[in-house]
Amino acid sequence: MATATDTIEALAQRDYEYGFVTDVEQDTAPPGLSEEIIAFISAKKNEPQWLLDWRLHAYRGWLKMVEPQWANVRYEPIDYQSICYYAAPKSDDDRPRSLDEIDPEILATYEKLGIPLREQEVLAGVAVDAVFDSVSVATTFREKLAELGVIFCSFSEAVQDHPELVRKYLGTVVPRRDNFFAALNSAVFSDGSFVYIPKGVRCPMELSTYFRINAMNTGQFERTLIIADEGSHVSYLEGCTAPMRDENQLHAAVVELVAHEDAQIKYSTVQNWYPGDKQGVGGIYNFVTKRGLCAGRRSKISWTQVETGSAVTWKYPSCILKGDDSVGEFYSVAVSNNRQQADTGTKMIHIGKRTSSTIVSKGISAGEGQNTYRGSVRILRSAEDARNFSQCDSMLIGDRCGAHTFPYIDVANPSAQMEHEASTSKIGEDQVFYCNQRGIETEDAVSMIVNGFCKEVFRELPMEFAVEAQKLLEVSLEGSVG
Amino acid sequence: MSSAAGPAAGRYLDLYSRRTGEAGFLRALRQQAIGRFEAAGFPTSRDEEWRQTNLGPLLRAEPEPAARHTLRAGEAAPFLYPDCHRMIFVNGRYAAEASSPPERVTAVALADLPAGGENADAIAEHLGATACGLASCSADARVHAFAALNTALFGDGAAIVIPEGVVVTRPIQVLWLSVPTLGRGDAGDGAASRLEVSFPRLLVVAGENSQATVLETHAADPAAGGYFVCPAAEFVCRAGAVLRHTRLQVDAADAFHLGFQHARIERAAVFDSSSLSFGGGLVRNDTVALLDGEGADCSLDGLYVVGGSRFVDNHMRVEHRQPRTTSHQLYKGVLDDRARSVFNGRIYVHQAAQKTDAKQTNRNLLLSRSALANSNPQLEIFADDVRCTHGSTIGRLDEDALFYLRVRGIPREEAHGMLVYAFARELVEKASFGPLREDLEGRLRSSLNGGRGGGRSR
Repeated sequence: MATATDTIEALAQRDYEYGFVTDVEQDTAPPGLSEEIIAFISAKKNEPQWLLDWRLHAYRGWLKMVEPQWANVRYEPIDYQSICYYAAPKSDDDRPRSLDEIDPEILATYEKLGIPLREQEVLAGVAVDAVFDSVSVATTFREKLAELGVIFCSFSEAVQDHPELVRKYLGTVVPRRDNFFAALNSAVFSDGSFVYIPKGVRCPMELSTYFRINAMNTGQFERTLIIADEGSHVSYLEGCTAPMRDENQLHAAVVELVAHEDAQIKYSTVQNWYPGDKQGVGGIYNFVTKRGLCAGRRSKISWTQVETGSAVTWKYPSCILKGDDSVGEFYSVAVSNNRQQADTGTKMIHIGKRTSSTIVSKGISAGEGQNTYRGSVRILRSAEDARNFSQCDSMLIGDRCGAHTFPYIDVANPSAQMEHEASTSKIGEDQVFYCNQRGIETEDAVSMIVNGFCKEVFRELPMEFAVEAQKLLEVSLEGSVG
Repeated sequence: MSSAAGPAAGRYLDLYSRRTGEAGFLRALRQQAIGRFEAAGFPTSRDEEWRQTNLGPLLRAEPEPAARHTLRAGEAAPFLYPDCHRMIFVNGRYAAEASSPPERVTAVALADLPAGGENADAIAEHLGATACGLASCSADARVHAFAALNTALFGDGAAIVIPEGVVVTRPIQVLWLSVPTLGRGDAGDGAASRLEVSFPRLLVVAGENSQATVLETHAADPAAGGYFVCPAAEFVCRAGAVLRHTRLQVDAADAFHLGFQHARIERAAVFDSSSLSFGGGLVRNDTVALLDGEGADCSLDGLYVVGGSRFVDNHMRVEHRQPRTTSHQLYKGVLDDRARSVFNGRIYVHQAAQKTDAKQTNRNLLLSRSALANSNPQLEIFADDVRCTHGSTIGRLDEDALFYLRVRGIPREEAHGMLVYAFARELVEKASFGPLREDLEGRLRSSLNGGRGGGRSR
């Protein structure tokens, strides 16, 4: 049985497969943060005055805030003045008309990542809005979506083309001064995706954005805003990988979702940023604010995430269940290997009547990884007959890792039904032995058991994502049976 | 209450400075504790562990040591059980004439300690060793302000040392009776209100392979006015010892009760503790249990029945430090009117504590629209070969069960009462000592029936 541990450890030793650097000329702002830099970013993107004011208001608020310390993660202090807040590929002015015009090196990068744009365009029926650093370089299928009135574009385009929508919804779910990192993002956000689904439209394809962090020392500050109008339906995919780096990179994104009456938004994430090497050097700091507002009756927001990357993750996709009968869901698999630290979970705030929420969180710790589930379920007095079910399971692989669970449950309405369950376990030797007996290699057995452990979450992912996620999990944990 | 030495902390530091000197290890212990308290001050709502506990009304009051009170005939009787060894304390002071401590066991009042006697060394060794103001958690060693205050200011208390191999068959009851002498009017509103404070202290050392049952009762006449009781208790279970402990809290409706308990459980020892809260206006119990030897086992169970606008907060931390240790927690709460409760349990598994088996459950029943329950069951695990689970539920009575009973001709009110009683009864039945169980059953029933508004508003 010694092999079991050895194999797992061997698996855990694997290097980051997607570490490479693409040399593309950058148009970069000098490092540091000031009102001038914000004005520079805003001017660079040709933004209207109100948006510049909006950014400056956020910045002035941010100056008065202190970096939160409560998360169960440890990292070197971040010097916010040494970060570059703007970088864009040089071909900003003359955007490519088709894929052929795109820098072949960028295309090659995507090739290496196994995301051939052209193939996806044809085969998968997925419209890809690929964000290379901070500016979108390719958007596909837009015409097809435009026929239905669906707006799917980069955030800066939305500011130019649909200022009324952006102005109406920006910051309504995550206020500019919501928290330290959200305020920072609001001040300096570079680009991101904007989606608007008109009334009654069921988006015919999965919308997908591949984020990529590329330039040295450039923090990425995406801003995503998705609005599903009455009776509409959309599924959005977000996935990312990043090249190998020695310096920690800050990533502070904000995602806002608004679901009106009878609308549904499904937001899926596969996050595979560079986690740092085995000593914990390098790696991405991922401090994300994601929040969805179920504004209308019978609306639904579903978050699914597979978190395998980043050195430090600090992320709580949340749902505000304001409309009566609205539904919030959170499905998560978080893996922390080597010295990765993840403090992740969700917040479900029940305001409307008969609102219900489901939380399924699976944490896997290996090596010296630390995995924390931190969730909050609040049932306010107005939330008559609200329902919540939470399940938080942890799996430990190796005796130097940690798994922690901090749920906060506040119920102020007696008609609410609230259940929380959590368990922590390891891969049983008897389970592995059972598989070995039947001729299944230890490594495959572990993979099977881990995949079984995460099945409830993978089931929620769109097909092509589920496959990728499963593969990622295998890579992240290869050789980890205890 | 803003900084370390805010005005509230200053008032308690004054209490300390008014103490007359004493000799020996106690003096050093108290100095250490008051130093820690002075440095840390009272916790505020910005302190994560105290986020949901509003200490405002308590800290605004002017503390003064509870007056001496001579026990009147029958005053303690409602809280005493037959067939028990007894140690009775009134306003934190030992009432020797009413007590009947067990033989073969060293059970002394701490005020008599300098006189020594056998096992004085054991008492000196253990008193304050675990709870002298530190919440004694290796990970985040924070000062527990109220435990530190108790150590610095306790006037008297009970030290019970059970020698190696001794089995004490009859339970040892320790009654902490509060008899406030300030009239109700004095403890009213405003910054100038006065509050009588007592600091009961308990130390139980169960020697190797010994067995005992300790029943603690914190009580007052239900009609008594406001007072503040700040108890601290330490339990040491040496290898193979079995210590059963029940803590019944039936303070007056306007009372503040902020208690701290600490248990250290050594190899193959068992500590089985239940905490039942029926009284008090603002109640908080902080419990820390260290499973400090292979095969140690501990159960921490609790029941809180809260009405009116009362507040009950149970914080506990169980640390598994050695392999093959087990812990179980079951806390149930019944909340009515505008009552609020907090359950905050944390299981901490050290890396050495492989084969840990830990379970934590919190169930809350909300009977009123205005009641609020907070439940924060937490796990921190640094070992891989463990089984740790926790569960938490908050809800109301099962409508189907209610319907079932009503179909059988049971009136709604009665059916309601039956179901609530059934929900809570598990924790009452756990008491193996007959008179205690009967008493608890009675208290549960009356707090559920008359319990609608059992507490007065604060």
